[in-house]
Amino acid sequence: MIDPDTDLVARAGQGDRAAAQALMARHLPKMLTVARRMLGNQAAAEDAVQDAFLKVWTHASRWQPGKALFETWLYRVVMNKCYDLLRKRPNASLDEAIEVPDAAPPADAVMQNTALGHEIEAALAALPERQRAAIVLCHHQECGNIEAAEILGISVEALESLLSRGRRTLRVRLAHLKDG
Amino acid sequence: MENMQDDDAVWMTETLKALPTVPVSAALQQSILVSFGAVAARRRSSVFARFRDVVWPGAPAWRPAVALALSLVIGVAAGTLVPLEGAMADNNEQAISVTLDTPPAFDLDENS
Repeated sequence: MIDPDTDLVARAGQGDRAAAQALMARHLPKMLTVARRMLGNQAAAEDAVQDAFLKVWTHASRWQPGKALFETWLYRVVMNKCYDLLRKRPNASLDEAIEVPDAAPPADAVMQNTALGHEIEAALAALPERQRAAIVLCHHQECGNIEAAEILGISVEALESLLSRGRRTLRVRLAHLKDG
Repeated sequence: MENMQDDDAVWMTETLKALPTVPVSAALQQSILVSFGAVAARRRSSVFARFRDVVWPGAPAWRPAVALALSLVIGVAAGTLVPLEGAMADNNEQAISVTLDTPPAFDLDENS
C-alpha cells in the first residue's frame, strides 16, 4: 500500500512549510466538506478542520507510514472532532445547526438549486450521526466501503447496515425529489 | 432486493451532488499555516531545551549561556598565551634532542 502523502508528512514533520502547505492544499477541501456535512455549519466545520490540522502538525514528526493511509487517518481525526462538537450541542435544534448558505437574492435557477441543496443538507443533518457519516463518506466523498469502515472504526458489515438505514430514511424524506 | 439497493445507492450519490460546494476561505488556510509555524517553532525550542537539559539538567537557560560565554573568554585568553609557552617548550625539546643526538665526549672503548 503506497501512501502518496508519506513524503509530505515527513517533510512537514521536519518543519518544511512548503510541504505543510502542499498537504493542506491536497486535503483541506475534502476535510472541510466532510466536516460541513457532518456539522451543518461552516464556522463549526472550520473549527473542526483547524483542530484536525493542528493534530497533523503535532504528530507529523512521529508519523509512521504503513499503518494506515494518511488520508484515512486524517478523515478519522476530522470525524472524531465532529463527534466531539456534536456532543457539545446535544440539544441544539436543526434550525440552529443548519445555516442558510447565502443571504443574497439569487436568480431563479440558482435559488432553486440553493433551496434544493439546503433541503438535502437539512435531511442529511436529521440523520443519526453514524448514518450521516457513512452516507457522507461513501456517497459524497466517494470513499470505498473498506476505507469508510476503517475511518469510522467499524466492520464493513456494520457500515453497510448504516448505509442501508441512512439511505432508506433519506429516500423517505426526499421522496418528492426521487419522484420528480 | 440487491438491485433496489444499487438503485438507491446511485440515487443517493446523484442527490448529494446537488449539495452546494463548501468554500475554503483564505483566512482558514492562513490560520492553519500559522498553527503549523507555531508547532514548528515549539519543536525547535524543545530541541534546544533537550540539549540544554543534557548540558545542565534543570538549569534556567541563562546558566549554560553564561558558562558558555565564560569558557569562550577563558579559551580566547588561554589561546593568546599558549603559543608563547608552546614555543618555549619547543625550544627546550629541541635543546634536549640536540644533546641526545650529539655523540658523547668520551668513549668507553678508549679505556679498554
